[in-house]
Amino acid sequence: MAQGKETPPNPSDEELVDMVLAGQITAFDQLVLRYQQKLYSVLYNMTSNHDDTNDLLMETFDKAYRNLASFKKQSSFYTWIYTIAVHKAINHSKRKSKTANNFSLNDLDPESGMEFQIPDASSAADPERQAHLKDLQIRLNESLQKLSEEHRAVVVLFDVEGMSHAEITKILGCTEGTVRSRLHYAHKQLKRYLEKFVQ
Amino acid sequence: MTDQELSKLLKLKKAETPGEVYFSQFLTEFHRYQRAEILHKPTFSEKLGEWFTQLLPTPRMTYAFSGCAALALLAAGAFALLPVKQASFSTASMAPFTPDQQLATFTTYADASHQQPELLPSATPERASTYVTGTSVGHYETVVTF
Amino acid sequence: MKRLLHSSFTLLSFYILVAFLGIAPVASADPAPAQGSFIDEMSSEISKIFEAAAPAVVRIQTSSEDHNLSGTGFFIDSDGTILTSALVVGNANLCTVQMGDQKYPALVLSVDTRSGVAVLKTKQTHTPFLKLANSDDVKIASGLVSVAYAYDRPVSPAFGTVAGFDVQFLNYYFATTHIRANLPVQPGQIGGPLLNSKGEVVGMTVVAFKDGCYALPSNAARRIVDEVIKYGQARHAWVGIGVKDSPAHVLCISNLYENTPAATSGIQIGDQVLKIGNRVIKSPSDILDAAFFARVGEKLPVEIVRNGKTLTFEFELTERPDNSRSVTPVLTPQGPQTMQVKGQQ
Repeated sequence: MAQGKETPPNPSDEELVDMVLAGQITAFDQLVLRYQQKLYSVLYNMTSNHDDTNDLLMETFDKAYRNLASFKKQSSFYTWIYTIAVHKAINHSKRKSKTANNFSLNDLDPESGMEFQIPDASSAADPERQAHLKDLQIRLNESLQKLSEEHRAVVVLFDVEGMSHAEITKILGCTEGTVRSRLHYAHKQLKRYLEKFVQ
Repeated sequence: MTDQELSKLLKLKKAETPGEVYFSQFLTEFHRYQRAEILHKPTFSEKLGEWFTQLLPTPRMTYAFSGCAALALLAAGAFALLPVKQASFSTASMAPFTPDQQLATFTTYADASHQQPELLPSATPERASTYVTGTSVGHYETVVTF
Repeated sequence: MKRLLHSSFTLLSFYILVAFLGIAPVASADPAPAQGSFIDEMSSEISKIFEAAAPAVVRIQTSSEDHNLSGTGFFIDSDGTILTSALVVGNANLCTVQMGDQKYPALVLSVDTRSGVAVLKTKQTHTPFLKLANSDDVKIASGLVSVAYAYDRPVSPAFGTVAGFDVQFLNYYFATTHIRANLPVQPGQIGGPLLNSKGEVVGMTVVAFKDGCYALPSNAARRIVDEVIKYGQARHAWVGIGVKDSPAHVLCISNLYENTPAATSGIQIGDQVLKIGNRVIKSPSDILDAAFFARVGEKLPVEIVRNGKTLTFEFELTERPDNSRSVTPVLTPQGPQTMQVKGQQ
C-alpha cells in the first residue's frame, strides 16, 4: 500500500500505474484483468491464431510491466498498451510470414477451444445457418490474413474494435489520411476476397 | 457486398473468444510467464536489442536510423572497394525475356490470348518469402457434391 | 562294388564341400548383425533414391503484389514440364524455377484449384524428370521418401510411412482421396514429390501439419496433367448432386442444383446412392473419387435406392461450374427442391 494514500475504490488506469510504480506491484494484476479480453481480441484478429495470441498477450503485458516507468501519461494507458500490443502483432506477423502461411490448422479445428459465439439469434436454432456463418468467419479470417499487417491493423482497430481514426493514429503513429486510405484499400480487398463466398 | 455488410461481418469478430475458462486462468499463467522471464538472463544481444527498441520507440525513427546506417555502410563499402574491378559472370540464366525471345517456341498449351509474360526482374525477392505450408483452406469445400 | 563305393564317397565329399562352402561364410560371419547395419542399409537406400531424384526437383518462387511465395516442384518429363502445388503458384502467370544455383523462368500452363495441381513449363529441354507411379499400389505402412526444399535451404530428403487415406480433414473435403503420411514436411516443401522405393512419384505434398502431411496421389495428378496437356486446363465432371454422409455410412442425396443434369432427371432428394459407374458407394471417398476420375462428356450411371426400390439414372457429365467456390445450398426443409449454385451463369 502506497504510504499515506488510500486505495480508491475503483482506481483509474493511471492511478493503478502510480500504485505499481510506488511498489504495490499487485496493482498491475488489475490492469491485466481490465485489458486481457480487449487485447486478446485485437491480437487474435491480427493473427487468427490462438497460440500466437496467447504468447503475444503475455509478451504485451510483460513489456508494459517492465516499461511502466517510461509511460509518460501523454496518452492514456489504454492507447499506450494498445500500441504495444498492435506493434507486437505486426512484428510477429512479419516474422511469421517468412516461415509459413499465416493460417494454422488449429484455427480450423472445432475442438481447438475457440468459442465462435454467433450473436445472431435467428441462427441459433438453425444449424445450417450456423454452419454457414462459421464458414464465413473462417473465410473472413483468411481474407484478413491476406492483407498486409498495416492494412489488417487498421481494419481490426476501426471495424472490429470500434476505435476512431484519431485513436488509431496515436496507436499506429501515422496520419489520419493514411488511416483512411489504408481502410479504403483494405475494405476493397476484403470485399474482393469475400464476394466469392457471400450471396 | 456493401460496406455495411462488410462492417457487420467484421463486428461479429469481436465475439470470437476462447471462452471464460481461458480468461479466468490467464492471470495465473501470466504470473508464471513473468517468473520464467525473470529467471531467464537475457544475452548481450537481447539486451542490446531491447535498448535499441527503447531508443527508437517509433517505427519511423527505426526506419530513419536504419536508412542512415545503410547509407553509411554503403558509402564505406564503396570507398573501400574503389577502384573496383568489374567481375564478369554469365547472366545467361538471368536474361530477361523480351518479346523477341523464345516464348513462341514453347509448346504452349495455353490459349492464344495468353499474353507474353514479362520476366520478373531477378532481383525481386528483396521481400522475405512465404514458405508454403498448404494450410490455406480457401479452396476446399465443406460439402460432398458431384 | 568298389567303384560304387568310390563314387558315393566322391559324391558325399562333394556335397560336404558344397555344404561347407555354403555354411562357412555364414559361420564366419558375426553371430549377431553389427549394431547399425540395418540403419546403414536404410540410409543407403534413402540416399540412392534422394541422389537420383534431387536433380529433377526444383524450388519454385512466385512473386505477386502481396507476397513472395516459395515452394517445391518437380519435372515430370524431359521437355521441362513441372508439377507443383496450386498454392505455390497462386494467380501468377510466371514463376521462377531454381535448379541448383541457376534460376529460370517458368510459364504457368494451368492452375487447377480443385485438385490443387499447377503445371508449369520451362524452356529447358532434356530435363531430368521423375516418373509417376501407380498410386493404387501404395498401402498403409508403405515407405515414402520426400525430396524437397525447406525454407531457403538446399534440397533435402525425409523418410516416412503411409498412415492412411483420407478425403476429409477437419471440416473440409479434398476433391479426391489423399494419402496421409507420417513424414515431416517443412515450410517450402509443399509441391514436392513423395517417392516409393523405386524412386517413382506416388504423391505430391499439398498440406503440411504437425508430424505429417497430406499428398495428392500420383494417379490423381496424372489425370489432371493429361487434361492440361490435351485441353489447356483440367475440367471436373459435374452432375449437380449434393450428398450427406450419416454415421451408418448411408449416403443420401441432400441437394440438387439448378441447371444441371441432375435437376431434371427425376432423381430426388433423399435417394440413397448405391453406385456411381462401377464404384460401389460406401463413403464420401467413393463419391468424390468417382467424380474426380470421371470426364466431362462421359455418360455416368448412378444407382440409387428409393423406398426399397433400386433405380438407375444416367447423366451426361457437364463441367463443374467453378472449381474454387464452395457450393452452399439454400435452406430446403423437404421435398425435391432445386438449389442455386452461387454465381453460376
